Amino acid sequence: MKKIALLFLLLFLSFTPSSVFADAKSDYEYQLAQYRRSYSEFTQLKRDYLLNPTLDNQQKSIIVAKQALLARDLGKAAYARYMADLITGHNTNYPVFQTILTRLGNAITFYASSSTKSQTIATPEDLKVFSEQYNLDTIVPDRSFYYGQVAAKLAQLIRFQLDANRILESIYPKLPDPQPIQLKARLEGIPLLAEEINQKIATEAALIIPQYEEAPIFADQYFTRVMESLADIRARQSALVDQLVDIDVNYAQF
Amino acid sequence: MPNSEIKINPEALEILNKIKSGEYIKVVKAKIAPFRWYILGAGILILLLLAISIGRSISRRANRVYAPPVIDITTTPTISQKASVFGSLKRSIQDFSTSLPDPAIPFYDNTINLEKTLY
Repeated sequence: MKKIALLFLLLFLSFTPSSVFADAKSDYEYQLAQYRRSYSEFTQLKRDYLLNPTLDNQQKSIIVAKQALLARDLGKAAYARYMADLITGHNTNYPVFQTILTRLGNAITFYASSSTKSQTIATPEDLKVFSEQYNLDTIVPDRSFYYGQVAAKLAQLIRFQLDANRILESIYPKLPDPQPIQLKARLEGIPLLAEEINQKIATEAALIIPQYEEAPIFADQYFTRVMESLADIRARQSALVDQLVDIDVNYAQF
Repeated sequence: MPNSEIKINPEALEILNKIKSGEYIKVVKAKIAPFRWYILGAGILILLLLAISIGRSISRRANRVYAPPVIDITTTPTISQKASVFGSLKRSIQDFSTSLPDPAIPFYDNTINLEKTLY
């Protein structure tokens, strides 16, 4: 009897849809696909409605527009959650990121609220008023995506710093005592290099949210400057790790 | 037991007597004599061919081409390099992508409506 129960349990588990364990990324990808499908359908129906503005065409357009609005806001909310996951996934506890996470949290609340509100639309006039207001209100939440992007990258670089420090601490007991002069000089240089990198990261983190937030953000300009800075930090980290590898390979004893 | 007498083939006895007396050699010499210069010539020719063959063999062995050793190839010494505990971190930093946005920010229409759009 127990064997039969176990068999049923295994069968149940094997047929349980994997979407139950869906993460923010897959949720975002699903909602984006839903939005693209709905939006494409809406564009076609809108064209039909404008060519032939019957009540039937109007209602069909409104129904599909509401589907597109729902998928859009759920997609944006999932994207914000995905960004937040990328930042927190590195377990840095970097204080500056808390502001970004709060912005992303506010954005998620806004999109969730908007997705509910959009489902009360009944007429083309309702849709027009809703979209006009939405276009104004979504500026700040949409910007959290930009901030989240940069914060996620910096979080990864901070994680490299933390890992380097942890591994260095683990090889300290393996270093010879007394330390040779060359080793001593290298060990003294490591904190200086690490501090330079930390300063670079801190400077970049402070620039995530622009001073004049009301000013429009141009993605190319915003990201190009950050990418140059990220490349510089990565090069410095690479040089730092090369020195750590040298210390480990040439001086650490087993 | 009666005394037995050894019977010898008379022809064999005759040949044996000829060999013993040296008469048989004379017969052979008499048969070879007209061809002696041919036999001598053939012998000299065989010796000559043998000498050429041996000489060529020695010559080949002396002129054998040996490939000179390539001295400018630096062979990498096989020193067992200790794997560093920082290896995976180094690879992670190398693989870190600085490109932004990553992932791309999707484009959404924020002004969905049923108004005529001016293009």
